[in-house]
Amino acid sequence: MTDSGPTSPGGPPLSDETICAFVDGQIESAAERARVEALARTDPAVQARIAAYQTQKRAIRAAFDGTLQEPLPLHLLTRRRPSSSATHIWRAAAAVVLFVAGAGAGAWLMPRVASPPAVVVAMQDSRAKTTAVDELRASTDAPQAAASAPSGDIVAKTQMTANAVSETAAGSVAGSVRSQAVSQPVLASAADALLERALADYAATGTAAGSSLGVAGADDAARRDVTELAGRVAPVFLSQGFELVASAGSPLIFADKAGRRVALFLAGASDTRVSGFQWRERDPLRVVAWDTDIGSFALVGPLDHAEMESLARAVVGQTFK
Amino acid sequence: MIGEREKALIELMPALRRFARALTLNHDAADELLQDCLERALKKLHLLRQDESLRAWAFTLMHRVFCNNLRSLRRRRQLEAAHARAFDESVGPAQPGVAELRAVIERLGDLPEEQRAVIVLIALEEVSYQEAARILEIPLGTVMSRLARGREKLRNLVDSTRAPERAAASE
Repeated sequence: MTDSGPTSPGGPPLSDETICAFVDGQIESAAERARVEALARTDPAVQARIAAYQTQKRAIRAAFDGTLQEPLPLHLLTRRRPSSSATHIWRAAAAVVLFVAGAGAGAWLMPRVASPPAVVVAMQDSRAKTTAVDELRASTDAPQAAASAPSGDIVAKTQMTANAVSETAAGSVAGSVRSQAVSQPVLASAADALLERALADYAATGTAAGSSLGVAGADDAARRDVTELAGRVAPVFLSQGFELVASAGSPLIFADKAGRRVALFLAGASDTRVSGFQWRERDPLRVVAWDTDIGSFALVGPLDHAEMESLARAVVGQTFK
Repeated sequence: MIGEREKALIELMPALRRFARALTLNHDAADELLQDCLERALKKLHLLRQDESLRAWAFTLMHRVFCNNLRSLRRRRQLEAAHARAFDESVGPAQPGVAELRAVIERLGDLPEEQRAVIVLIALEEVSYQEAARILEIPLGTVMSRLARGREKLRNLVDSTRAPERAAASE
């Protein structure tokens, strides 16, 4: 089609821009609108353009509006990784724990370590047969780690702790505190118990190599819950500089540019619910724990109080509607 | 206090994804664009002024990322008819007048991206030309001229596709 532009006897010729503005309802002047309307009745060229532009708009809506009805693509809130990031993260984490194992319990979070880790582990509730420890083991594909592990008793004890956690992960939070490998007094609170779990589970990644435990038994529903949780909390962590670095179910790990890692635990709901945040510290590690209807949460990491609280509040904001 | 803006951003995801699909005309590329956009948005959310529209700001970010990635997107879109397929899925071929709409969508990819961006933004978001100028970071006059040139080009493209069809149908 090579028709020339529409002409108007009562004024300057109508430009395509004016016709567009008419179609989009963006002509301010009533007189100008009336002029276009009058021409639309008499001038086939104006008619053809108006009809075509309206059709274009309808077509675009028809083609793309379906997008709005699709479920939220929450997985897009996490950063793309070129390859299996969980494996790499955990291999690196295992190297770190082996490196610092001789330095004493808790040392794995020391800032002077090149890549000080903290762990985000979403523990499954009793519906899930898989424990966080299983997950951690499954994500460690470094059998050589055991061979090169120092024979220090810290490693042996944390292994014991890991086993204890394995046995009791589906039970109550407090029930998991059997081993005293990394703590002094018997711990009564959920926050303390979760702190011990974080330590034990982390240590297990460095010592459980060759384990046959896997994730095959994981409950799909529980896995979805964890994935959903990841989708909800990832943006708020990211807004504070912590990127979700492992998102394929639990464990979820967040790290910032400095290499600091934080860990979020979700344990099955306990019988006794404590309101508010409970804080525990073991320098440089901090734990903040809180109870909700869906379970007990604990955030563990080498951050200062304000940073931890900010993250914890953000998680609360995402887990309560 | 953290949370409100992030929540608002998450609520924008469907609209951003729709825009991404109309920009890229490719589902995978659209999700990558959305992912890049969200990543930047979440990092920069704290820079958003109180009086600034999160929606416009997020669309601006998306368009910027789109422009930055244009070269690789062009390569990927070759031979892609995903948008036309998506159109069939969401509209269905049986309705009256659908052939006309489909012809538009088929030729949408033949427009220069800069024209398509204006056209789809105004069709999908129903923003004012002023708002479109802010989002696309171009002058108001450029919005109007790209819109007019793009629509006119699209009209001619569709007519050139449909004229032989109609001729064949009337024989």
